[in-house]
Amino acid sequence: MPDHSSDARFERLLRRLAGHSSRRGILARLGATIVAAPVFPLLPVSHAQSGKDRSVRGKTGFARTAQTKDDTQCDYWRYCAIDGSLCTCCGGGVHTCPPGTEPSPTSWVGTCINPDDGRAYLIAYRDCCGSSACNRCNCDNTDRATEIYRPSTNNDIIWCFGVSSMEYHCSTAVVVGTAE
Amino acid sequence: MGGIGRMRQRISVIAALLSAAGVQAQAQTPPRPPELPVEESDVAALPVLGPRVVMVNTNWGSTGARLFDGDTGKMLGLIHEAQLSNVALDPAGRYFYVAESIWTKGNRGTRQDMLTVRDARTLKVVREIALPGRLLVGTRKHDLGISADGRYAYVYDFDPASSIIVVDLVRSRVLGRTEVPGCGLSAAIGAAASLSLCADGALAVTTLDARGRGSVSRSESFFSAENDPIFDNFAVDTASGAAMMLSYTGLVYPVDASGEPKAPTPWSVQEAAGLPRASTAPLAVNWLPGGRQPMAWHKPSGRLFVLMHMGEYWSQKEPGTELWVIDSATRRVLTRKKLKHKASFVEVSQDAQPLLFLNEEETLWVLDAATLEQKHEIANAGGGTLTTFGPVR
Repeated sequence: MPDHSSDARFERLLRRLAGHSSRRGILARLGATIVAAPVFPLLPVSHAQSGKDRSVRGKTGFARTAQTKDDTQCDYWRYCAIDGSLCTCCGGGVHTCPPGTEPSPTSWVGTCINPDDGRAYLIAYRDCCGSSACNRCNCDNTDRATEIYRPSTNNDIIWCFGVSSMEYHCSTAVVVGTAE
Repeated sequence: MGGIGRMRQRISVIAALLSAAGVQAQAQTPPRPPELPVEESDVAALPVLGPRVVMVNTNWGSTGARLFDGDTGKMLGLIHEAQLSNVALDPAGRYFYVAESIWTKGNRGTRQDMLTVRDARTLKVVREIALPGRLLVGTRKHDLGISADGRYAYVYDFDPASSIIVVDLVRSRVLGRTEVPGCGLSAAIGAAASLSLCADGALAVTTLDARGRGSVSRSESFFSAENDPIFDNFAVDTASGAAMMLSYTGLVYPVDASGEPKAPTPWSVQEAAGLPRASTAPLAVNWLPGGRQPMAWHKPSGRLFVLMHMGEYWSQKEPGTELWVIDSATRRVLTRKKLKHKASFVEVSQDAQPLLFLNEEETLWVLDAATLEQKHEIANAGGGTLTTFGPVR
């Protein structure tokens, strides 16, 4: 069920995201939406809380088999809820957009466990926008991914809001904090 | 001279023989058929679309909504669309409505969102209605709804605040925008309402007043959008406001959205098969619904067709390896059929001897919905949501 206790943490996260972005208008609208809907279930922090069991038995199928060596593979640990082309295969990196594209200031979010340190991290999946689809290393991982009426964890939406072009190119997976 | 004379004589004998043989051969050759008539290029028109026609909406990659005759397996035509468009049919069958977005310079420039109205026989553009925005997302059916009387279109927008844009299709203009905070989707209900699902686990119904302004009423929360979401691509009967919804764990929610939205009582597809409800615990392997359009509803018989796979929880996009046919009245699985090919999309025609449609990786399969016998396998059919032209979308 919805976890209202995470609202404050989400607000802090939003502020942190806004701090890295010049597109505050978009984030302000998103923030306004959430303020207008106090029952809006927020980021999957609660999953991290409920999933503190880092034993094999406590992990999803993805987390049990995730690796930390090759970020061009779909099973790289940060990609637990990514959908799209990996920017690491398109001339970019895990937090770097390829040449000629622009990172969206908005994103959907996943909670992924790093097998090297056992911590759960909040991952912002930011689309790189403004060039035609890279269409390489296409992955579609679905850990705790939801439908579009809960957009913060939906990976099908084109998240190229607040950039000059909404054309989707690839997706990055940026660590934005721990979810302990 | 004598030698030359004999040679000439032989040549003339051979020539005569060859000539005679030619005449004989000519006499035995059947007469040539008449010349083919000179042709002129023309253009086909679509037939009136019956209930056994299916539309495969490919809105990513090689875009276009392809129409197939389920009886013959033949393609009837393609409705043009931009990337990430929605396509809907006027309930009276006069028009196709395409909610689409383009930019003046290809991938940049001025964004133009529009509802393109195409004639349902010729597919020619009848008019374009400018929209103030719309959400760009793949494989969703209920981002565009058409009211039961064909008067209104409901376009779901997320920018990233949620709203429903109401279009008057008679006057060809946008009436306004209703905010639906914390909710999404805009499936048409009756003559003047649309249905959304909300992130707090409620239903929201946006009802239009006489001037087309929307007001939102919500049900109690009844599901967890975070832990057991209902699939966006549910089945809805616009005319009656009845809908069948399915969650990731396999709970079916029979919804009545004809009036004030009420929380439905769910039942489990696994229990309908005599199995325990699905567990969401890691390492627990269950039969789970999955795919992009995982359930079809044949409203006249009350049968549900659900794509199921074996897996751990959070495998909701896995295509089905089995098709479960369920009687929604008795809540019993009638048939479990192992599929020859996995499928992510399922739809059923709404006539008395329905056809079942399955889609995966650009292939469309047509089955008899009663016997589950395959009638057609159609390659290069496109991949995406399936729509039949009956009451249930």
